[in-house]
Amino acid sequence: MRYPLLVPLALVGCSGSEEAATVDLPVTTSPAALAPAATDLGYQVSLTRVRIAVAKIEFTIEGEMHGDAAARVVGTAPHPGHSAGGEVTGELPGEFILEWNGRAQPQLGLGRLIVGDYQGANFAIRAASARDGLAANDPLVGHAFHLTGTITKDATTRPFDALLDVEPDTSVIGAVFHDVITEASTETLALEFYPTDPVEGDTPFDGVDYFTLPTTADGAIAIRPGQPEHNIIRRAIQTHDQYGVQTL
Amino acid sequence: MRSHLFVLSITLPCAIARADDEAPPSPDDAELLQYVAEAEAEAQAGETIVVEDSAGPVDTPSSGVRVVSQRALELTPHRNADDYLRLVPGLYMSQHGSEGKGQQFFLRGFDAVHGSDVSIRVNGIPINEMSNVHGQGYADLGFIIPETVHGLTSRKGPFDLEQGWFATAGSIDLVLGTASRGRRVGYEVGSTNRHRAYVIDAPAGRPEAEFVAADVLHDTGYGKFRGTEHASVMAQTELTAGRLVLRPMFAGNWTKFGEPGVIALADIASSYFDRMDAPAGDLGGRSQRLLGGLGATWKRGADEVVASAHLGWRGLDLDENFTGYLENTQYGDGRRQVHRAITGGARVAWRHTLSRHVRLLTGTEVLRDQLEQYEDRISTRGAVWRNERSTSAATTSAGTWAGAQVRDGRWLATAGARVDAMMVDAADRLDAMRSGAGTVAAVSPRAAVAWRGEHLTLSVAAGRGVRPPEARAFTQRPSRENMMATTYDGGDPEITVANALETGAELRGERISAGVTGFATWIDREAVFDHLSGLTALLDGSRRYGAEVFVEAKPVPWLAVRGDATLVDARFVVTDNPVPGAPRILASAEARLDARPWSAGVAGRFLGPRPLIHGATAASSTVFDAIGAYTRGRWMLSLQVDNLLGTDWNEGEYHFASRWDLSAPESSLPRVHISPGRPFGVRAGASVQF
Repeated sequence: MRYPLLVPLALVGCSGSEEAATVDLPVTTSPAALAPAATDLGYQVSLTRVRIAVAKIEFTIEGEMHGDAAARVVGTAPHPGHSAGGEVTGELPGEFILEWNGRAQPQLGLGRLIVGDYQGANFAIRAASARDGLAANDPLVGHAFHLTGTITKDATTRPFDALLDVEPDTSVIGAVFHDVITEASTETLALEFYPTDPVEGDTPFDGVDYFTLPTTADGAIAIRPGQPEHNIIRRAIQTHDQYGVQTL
Repeated sequence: MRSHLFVLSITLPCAIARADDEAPPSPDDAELLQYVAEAEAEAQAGETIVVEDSAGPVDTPSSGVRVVSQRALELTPHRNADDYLRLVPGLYMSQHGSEGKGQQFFLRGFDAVHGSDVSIRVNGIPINEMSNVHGQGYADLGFIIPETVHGLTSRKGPFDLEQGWFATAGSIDLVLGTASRGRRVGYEVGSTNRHRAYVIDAPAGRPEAEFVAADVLHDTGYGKFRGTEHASVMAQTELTAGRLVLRPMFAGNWTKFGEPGVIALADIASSYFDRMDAPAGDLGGRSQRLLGGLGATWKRGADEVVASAHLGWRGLDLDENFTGYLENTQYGDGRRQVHRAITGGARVAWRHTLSRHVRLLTGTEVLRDQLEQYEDRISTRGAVWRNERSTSAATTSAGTWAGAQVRDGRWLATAGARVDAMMVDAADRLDAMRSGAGTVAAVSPRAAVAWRGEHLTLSVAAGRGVRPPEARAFTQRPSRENMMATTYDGGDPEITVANALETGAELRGERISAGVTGFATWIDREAVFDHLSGLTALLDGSRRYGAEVFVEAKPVPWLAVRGDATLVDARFVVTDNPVPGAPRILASAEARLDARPWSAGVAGRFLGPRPLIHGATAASSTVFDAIGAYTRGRWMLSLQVDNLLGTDWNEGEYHFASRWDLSAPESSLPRVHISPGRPFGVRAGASVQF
């Protein structure tokens, strides 16, 4: 038996219920600079600032499904005695503006995680509002994503500014997060945005011929809701391929 | 199924006619018949490893077998037939609804949920439901009037050729009948405003299998919204025609029960809920059953045929909410499940004694389920706000087995194999494109060997048990994020196979017996249909190692005592995490005093701390129940005490997220939830025999 001492201990007295051990860890966004993304149509998208309005950051374990049995069960409500997959065992509740600009960002808060072997992270994407502490004229207000930077092709560089909306109840499920959390863990959990999918090598900016798009008065390429290009970028940027969690 | 019934109805009477007309046996046959008679006499002399019974035959000399007589059941504290199953050593049952809902079973390191790994039969009729909307193998014994249970046979592990679907951890056979003859009327009143009345008519001079019985029950239950109401009627008769014995039976039941939900310990600590509260309010369920069965036994010389056929209708309606407002803060997370099924089946087991040493064991069974089920999301007021699932399905399953039993001196061995197959056609009525069909099959070799000395029995057994996939697992789910459905949305439905090994030693004396059994079970990959997400989760392999010990004694003729303990270490192979919920230590003690006019029984159970998912731990508990009775003339007075020591214990404990207090910060983190155990209570009863 793994715990032989349990036998005599249990026989001499009754023990109470015990909640799972947890640890509180700081959560932030990665301070690393955003690497340029090379699109399938030959553009280089260099982002200088990415902001996303999110809520309910969750950290998940894979449970008892590995290898060829790795069929994740997500979004389930548990029930006594039944398989409670989609095993969210860590969280940072609340609403946040995630920002990546190549500099260290303020801590989002302390996430609480049950000790375990973590495999993924989830968060909901929402429209930003004045509740987020944004100025009334902040372009992100009313939108989910705001991306700024430049786009280069054939030695021509133009400013890039994208505002993206999402459908209600949109979530990123399964961002890569590999870490073994113990009661002694002290690391900071840093959310990452990947302009290029580190596994498949594609980017959310693929499929758009940017220099054919109309520009703003100051010559910037603007992506706005309602444009077909908006939907192309949105479809890819809201998948888990573009996100991860690193430890600092 | 129809063809099997037809064959059965034709062949058995024909066989009888031939038997009645046959010539006297030859000298060789006479020797064989003499041997058969000796073997039967030996079997009925009280040996526990070879028990002949029409509904619970035990051919295989494995160690984990217990046979309990009706008198022992009567002297066991009980509220219903479910409670009799607590006499199965190492079986832990948990009720997370209220009386009337199917129990959750834990056995040999398995969380068998509502019956997915424990096969239960009544008079040979399978009670586990294929593809019940609430859980695979759902086994509801609420229709059984406890006074009509004639005996119980439990077999742990999948070592007997006759153990079919769901016997991955073990199987339990109940036999109906009553040794107490005459007409009896009884009434019981209990401290939870429990009122139960029953009547049994068991004509004197008729076989013990023959009775007509009915009972009605009202119980407000302990705490809040844990009430139950119930009415059952059962009837069985026995008809003999030469060597053929027929036992037609009928059962009908209607039950209404509360679904109070389970309470987070944190909500108790914050005083948001009381320990006996019902977070889900007055949600509840209804269970209905109509069941007709026909059992048949036929013996002639070296041949014995045991058969049964059944046809039943089943209904289950459940409104429940275990997570409060976690998913939906507006309407709540309530869910309604409705299940309707018509089930029919037949089973024939044939034993043929070939020689002094060899007996052939063979048989076949078929089962057909036609079911309709749906699942809706409901508001706190019970209004449907979203249809989640609507399925109609037909499942046809068949099993056949063949093997041999060999006796030679002190050695007894059985070996053989069975094949089980299931064909499913499932229609998704919300989206016809998701409908699906398929066939699955598995071969299960099984063998056991025992050496039986004058006092000592040694045995070793190996076998494979099978759990079928649910019908709904054959419907298809849409893929997420353009990925392969099998990568991200569950795997293909498949049979879960459990390979088991067991070895035991038993020492039997005149007044005291003791035994020890070691067992191990391995599952390579487990297919679990999560009915909440609608996905087939393919879990990693798991293994279970354990040991059981028992001591029983009868120091004087009127006193019997027994104690047993089961230790199990059940873990997933890849992560080494424990199998959640499965007890590591379970011990029980029983004492029965039978000195008429006085009789009494005490049953106690120690449940050690249990691992829950994600590293949480469920509390241990020790609970004793008692029964006492005084019989004078035609009258019998009884008193039963639940939870004699008044222990605050948790019958069920679970670890998941919930949100009931909307003013508290939102959290998706799992928490320990409890289903409080029955508090101290008394029940007084009186019955009179006419």
